[in-house]
Amino acid sequence: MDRRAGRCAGFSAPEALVGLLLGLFLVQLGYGTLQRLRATEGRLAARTDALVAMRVARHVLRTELGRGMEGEDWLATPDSVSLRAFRGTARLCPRAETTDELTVAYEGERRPDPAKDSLVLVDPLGHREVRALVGVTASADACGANPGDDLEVWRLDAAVGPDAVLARLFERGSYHLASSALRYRRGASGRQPLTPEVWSSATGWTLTGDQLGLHAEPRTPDAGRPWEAFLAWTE
Amino acid sequence: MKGFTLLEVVVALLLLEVAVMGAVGTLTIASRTLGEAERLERLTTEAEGVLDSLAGVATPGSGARTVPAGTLEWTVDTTGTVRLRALRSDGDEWLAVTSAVPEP
Repeated sequence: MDRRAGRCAGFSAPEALVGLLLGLFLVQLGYGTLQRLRATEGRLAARTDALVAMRVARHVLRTELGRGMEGEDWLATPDSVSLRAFRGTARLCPRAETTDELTVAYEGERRPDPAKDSLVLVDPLGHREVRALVGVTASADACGANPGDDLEVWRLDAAVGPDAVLARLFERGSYHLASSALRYRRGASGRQPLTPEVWSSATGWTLTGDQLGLHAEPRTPDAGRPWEAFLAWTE
Repeated sequence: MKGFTLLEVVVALLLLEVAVMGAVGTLTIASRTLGEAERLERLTTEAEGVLDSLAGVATPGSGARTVPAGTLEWTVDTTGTVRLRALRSDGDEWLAVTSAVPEP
């Protein structure tokens, strides 16, 4: 066996050291790049979440506020937007006298609920009266109902005259930007989240002159510029 | 006589450089694409806001607005039809929408 050849095989100590240092450098470079990519991915995800939540909030609020009139049906403050959240419309069957029971053909996005709903009664001239809904029973009177309408008798907390022709069913509620999400509070109950909790505490309503908007910032720090959305005119 | 020849080292370095350049190029393109996507997303969001605001007034008017991501231009004709164009910062058209404004 050639012992000299055996001693010369492999790397020398400086070669091995340089090789290890180069390897370490490459590993560090790769690890740093991976960390940056993960951080970028996290920021991107946070921005996307904030944007999607903002779009949900905008859709919900545009729909809700568009159904009513500012000042009469909804009111914006720096903390919340209080509103009559309209849930359906009923045509009132003709009647000759003042009464607290109305036969109606109702169409809406959910069933009337006397525990939480009230009515805006409208006459042909646009005059409005508000009544609380006390009871709901089915009716057999088919006073010109459209297919799909529910025929019902609605009992009110106070009598209404024969002029009213239309009733709009609503629940009192308010929208809040709290704890990183858009929340809806029905009546005096708790605030239920409508979006994921993805916004920072800097997120809020923007009341600028004649319009109401939404300013949404991602909860993750350094996730970029905020998003702005138009919601409604306030004049 | 052991070790690498100069030619081997040069070839190895060239191969390494190609690989590094490829990786850096990919990252640069990804970064640019991400930035462009962000700008277009903002431009689209601004356009949505303008359309929403026009739908909420009885008599919408024509106008234009410059935003960081580009320019928005919209016209409203006598039938209430809105035509909105979103132009990127380089002047290219990104979005063109034609819609009827519903009665508020």
